[in-house]
Amino acid sequence: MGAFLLKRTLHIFLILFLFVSLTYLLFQVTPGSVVDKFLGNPKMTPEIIAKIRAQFGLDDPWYVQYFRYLKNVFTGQLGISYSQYPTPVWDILKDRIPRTLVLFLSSRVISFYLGFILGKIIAWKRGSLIDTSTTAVGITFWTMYYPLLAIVNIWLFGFLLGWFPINGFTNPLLWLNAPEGLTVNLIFAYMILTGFIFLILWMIAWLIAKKPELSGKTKKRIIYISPLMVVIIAVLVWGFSGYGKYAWDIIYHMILPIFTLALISFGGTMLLTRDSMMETIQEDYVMAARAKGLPPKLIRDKYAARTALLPVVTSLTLSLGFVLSGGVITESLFSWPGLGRTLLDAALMQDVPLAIGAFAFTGVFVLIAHLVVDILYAVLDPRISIETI
Amino acid sequence: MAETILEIDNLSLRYKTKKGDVKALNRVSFQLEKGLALGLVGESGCGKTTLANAILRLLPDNAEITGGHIYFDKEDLLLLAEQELREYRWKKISMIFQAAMNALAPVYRVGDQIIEAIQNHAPEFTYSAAKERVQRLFELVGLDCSRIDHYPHQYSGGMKQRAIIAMALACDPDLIIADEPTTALDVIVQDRILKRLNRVREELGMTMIYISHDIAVIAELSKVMGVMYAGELVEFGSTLSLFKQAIHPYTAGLMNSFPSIKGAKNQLSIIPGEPPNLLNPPAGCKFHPRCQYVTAQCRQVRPPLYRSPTEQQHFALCWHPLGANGKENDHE
Repeated sequence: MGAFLLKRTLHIFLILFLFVSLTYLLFQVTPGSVVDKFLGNPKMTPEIIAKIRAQFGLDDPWYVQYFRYLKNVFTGQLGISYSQYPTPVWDILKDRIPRTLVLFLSSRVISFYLGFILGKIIAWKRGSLIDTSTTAVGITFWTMYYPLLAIVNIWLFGFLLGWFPINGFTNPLLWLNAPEGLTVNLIFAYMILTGFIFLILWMIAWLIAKKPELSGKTKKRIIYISPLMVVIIAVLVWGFSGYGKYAWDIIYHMILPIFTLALISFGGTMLLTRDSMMETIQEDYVMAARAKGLPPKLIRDKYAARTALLPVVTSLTLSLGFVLSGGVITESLFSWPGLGRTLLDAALMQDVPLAIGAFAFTGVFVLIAHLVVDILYAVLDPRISIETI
Repeated sequence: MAETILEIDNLSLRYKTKKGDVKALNRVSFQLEKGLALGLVGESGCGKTTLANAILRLLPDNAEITGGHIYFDKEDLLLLAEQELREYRWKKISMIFQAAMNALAPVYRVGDQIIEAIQNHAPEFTYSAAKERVQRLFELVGLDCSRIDHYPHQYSGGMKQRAIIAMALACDPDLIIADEPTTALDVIVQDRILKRLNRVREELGMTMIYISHDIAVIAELSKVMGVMYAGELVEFGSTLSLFKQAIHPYTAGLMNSFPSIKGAKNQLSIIPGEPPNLLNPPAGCKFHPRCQYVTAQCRQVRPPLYRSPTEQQHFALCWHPLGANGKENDHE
């Protein structure tokens, strides 16, 4: 395990180096530069522009700039944003990254879970009305043009029904009266912490429930009741702390984008699960489970769906790479101050340090996600051992 | 006469496909006494496995039982609701699967899969009690107990087969259906496992149905045997009686197509032609296109049941039974 992690960490650094280099060179060959936006400004004399160029080191040959940038990146310096001078790139990213991650990870998890559950149900009832109608609905949403769906959802739920705010991350009126020192980021950080505690406790519950000595009923109780307790406690703590309304404001703004993202992508997982299940249902061990007289639900979940899960996890991993590209559209449509919009703005403004910073983070995120999924694979499938990956 | 444990009565079954109905079983009838081992032989695709799966109703979606009854302990299994049938599965009738290699789920420990079967039918077993039982079963089939906590992929083919047998024995069933239990194994391992299986069966006094295309294996293991051809049970009777005097020309042909170690060197004879396509089976006797004794009658009318004059339980479906009317059996 130690050797595996070491090897993978080296891989990650190598890939990251190539990734950052390519992105950097791509921006180098893009025509124009950050100072071009001053061209139409009569107050910016050529002397001033030359001074700015010199200050940013833009007059050096590209390879000097490149090595300087590499050195900075690998010593943890992402530089200063051109467009939001003099804010360091990292200060911008560290605000934006958690928002994007929470938005996309939660929508991915929801769509993955929903798709997997629906997929296994319709595969089990293959050929029935439920199967055909759910498949049709899944395909419809999956193939829909995403921006259109987002706009329809905003119009329907935000405007026509008025259930949810149409865009933004918070309601500024509420935060205007917030006590001194209470910032959106602080509340958001505590919310993430709550979620993290929840996940860890749930994982512990799973590990306890995995013991073969426990009966099925006790297992279910541990797995379902313990997280429920944690949720109740968390809601109570937030409620009594008096900050609950601020946390709710953030969640309230998150519902519509998460719902839209989950709606567009659950179909893919569902159809993949269905296909994968159709294969495992034919397997001899599923027939053996039936012959053993096990209850049908147990056969479906424990035998057919369990092995069908593996290709679905693979597709989930691959889809993580598209978090950012999807983010550009979602965050623009929902005015969500996250990484995708930052990236778009940075690219438009030729703000090279910020753009590469955003890209580099995506790279790191995807690489770490792959590492986690590789470990998860070994956990899910005993035929795969860490050493052989 | 001993008690009848399983009675199949006029069982017919078809698979619905896009090309039409595949008549996989056609009016199959036989009775099996408690404690006996029955061997079913036949070529691939003759309906042996379908028959085995039909007993536990483990059939694919497109299968439809079009008629007949399956009585187990006087209870018609075909009339039972799925829920009631689950009580029969494994507890009273268990199976050793054709593809034992794949009958164990790859993601669970072998021991846990057997324990699950035990606990499912006897919830009073605690995990550790069930595990002890698995240990005894492993000893019985000749597997090392340390293997209980291993995953299927860590087993060799022969070990998986033994584990499957241990699993089939887990709930002390009255009847075990062994569907080609050793086809995937080499001859030496096959022989060892079959001997072990037979010994366990005799010790526990269980009824068993062996299904195989290997008539030699059947002859060795079973006291009663049935020969299937194109979805029909063409001959049924005690193994001794069948080998002494096969009635159906197909049975005789099957026996001649296997070499014998003892006796004179005979040219192996083959049965000409191929088994019929069950989408569109021939009329009358299904074997008539390949039979050397074929007459006009065979081509049109399904043959009647012919009982052996020497043994009442021995019967065949044939218009021209061998050994009758002075006709010589050409088998040795």
